[in-house]
Amino acid sequence: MTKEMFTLKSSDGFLFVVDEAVVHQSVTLSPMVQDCAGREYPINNVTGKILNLVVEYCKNHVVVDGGDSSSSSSSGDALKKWDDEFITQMDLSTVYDLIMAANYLIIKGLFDLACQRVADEIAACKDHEEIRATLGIVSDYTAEEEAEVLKENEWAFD
Amino acid sequence: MWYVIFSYPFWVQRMEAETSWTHYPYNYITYVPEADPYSEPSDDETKDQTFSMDTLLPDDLLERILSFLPIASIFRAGTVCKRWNEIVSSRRFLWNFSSNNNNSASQRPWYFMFTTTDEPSGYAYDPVIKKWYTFDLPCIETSNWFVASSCGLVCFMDNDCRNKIYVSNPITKQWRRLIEPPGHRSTDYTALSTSMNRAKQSYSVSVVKSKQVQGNFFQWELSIHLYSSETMTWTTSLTDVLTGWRGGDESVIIDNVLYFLIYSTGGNSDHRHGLIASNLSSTSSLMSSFIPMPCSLTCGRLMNLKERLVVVGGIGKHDRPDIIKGIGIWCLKGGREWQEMARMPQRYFQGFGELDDVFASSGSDDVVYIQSYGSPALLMFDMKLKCWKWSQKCPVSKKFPLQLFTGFSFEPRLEIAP
Repeated sequence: MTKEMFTLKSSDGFLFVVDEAVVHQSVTLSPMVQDCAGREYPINNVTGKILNLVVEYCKNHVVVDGGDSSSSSSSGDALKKWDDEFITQMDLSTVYDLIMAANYLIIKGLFDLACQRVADEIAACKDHEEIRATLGIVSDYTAEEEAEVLKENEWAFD
Repeated sequence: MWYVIFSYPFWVQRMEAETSWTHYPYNYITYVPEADPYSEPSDDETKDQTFSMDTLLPDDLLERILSFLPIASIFRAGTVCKRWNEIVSSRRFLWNFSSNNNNSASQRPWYFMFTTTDEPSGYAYDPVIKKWYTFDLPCIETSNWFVASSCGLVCFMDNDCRNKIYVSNPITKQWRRLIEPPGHRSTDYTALSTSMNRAKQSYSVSVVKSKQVQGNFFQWELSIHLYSSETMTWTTSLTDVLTGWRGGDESVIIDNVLYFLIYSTGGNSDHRHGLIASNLSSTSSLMSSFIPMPCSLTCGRLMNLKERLVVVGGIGKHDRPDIIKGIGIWCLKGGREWQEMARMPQRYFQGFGELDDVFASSGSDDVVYIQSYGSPALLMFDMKLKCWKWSQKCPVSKKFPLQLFTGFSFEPRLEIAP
């Protein structure tokens, strides 16, 4: 049985040809399997740059998810390592785009992975100022409000 | 379900049950699609500024990201800006945070260690990130107060008159004082425990009071008093007189059964300790639910580990049962039989230095903490992985030779309020 291939089209016109196993990883795209073989399926909310990363993630996860369980522990470790490298080498703005793409396409593993990356970045900051600087957030606290909310949570800043 | 596709930005109807995988619905309608994918950033945009997450991510996605944070970071996040503060303070976030982390390691109990005996301050240990935080406890005044914890709530009772009882969440610092329990004001021994019913959002507190019958060394009067947060009142569920045994200060409530240790007053010298498993809905005599301990113990500490009764006990030497030679962990199976779960390896036992026949031990979920009163060293046992491990060294230091250290474990929960 030949594998069915599907064509995904990014918002900026890039085409990605993927097989059914990749498509099924996205809850949003899964239903298209019935109807869309051979036709281009536009994904208007995701650029080519990000869709490329999404497809790369899904391709890597097909190999292991479809594999047999006897090799699952070592291949599970290898996959985790791949995931870590995959997400760590991206800059934060790409990660945000990936979060939104994974949210739209409903790819849980990728979504959690990307959220965890941002959370790790926040957790590594030792205080609110470092969080603001790292993520480019402007505070809307007045000096008094900030002093008060800091005092309430003093212990967390050790 | 088939989605109709158009070539311009569209909204997609979602059926929550099919497509959303979190416990709250994703409202994708809030997402703003990229307006013009071909636009280049203009020169007057500050390209060197870090990409601002603020403007890009909608609240529900930000909320999801923040739910991955360790507890201390949640509090730090609340100080970043008002939007973040609103998110991490919302009931929805607090409840989702706990259930998100239910299956992951993040719910492992923390351990609080007092730095001095006469102040409610010390250090709190998060075993997941292996970090000690400087920590102050609400309500409690000195380290010799009684402490009982369940599911994020910690109950404190003073050790003088034993009439000041507080229920608190040590992380959020919320607390409430309970009305005084009934029974004798002056008791010889008191045992405190608490149990949280998450489904009903209510809790109960039990106090077991022991008083020697006047003029009779062997007879002790025991009374069990129960507080319910639903009625905010105490009821005296049982009074009984024991002969040859007395109550002590160890008790725990599991599944409507109050377990507490009793101590031989000299009559039965075979075993110094025994267990009473008193069903809180019945009024049968205490000794009818007597369960002997697995072996002769120098001391026993009771705890609720995932709704199983676990005892951590000091094992006495054969010829000198009051001198400790090892520590074991047992679990009560079928309500009557003890199963040995672990024996502390010698190298850990020796790692405490000189271990008294009594020591501090508490735990919940899958973690048992053991601490010698003579040092700030803290040992952990993971019931699931069956492994022993020292915690990160606590920053507290021994200031004088006879300094005593003690502590207790509690689950860090943001959403539980007394």
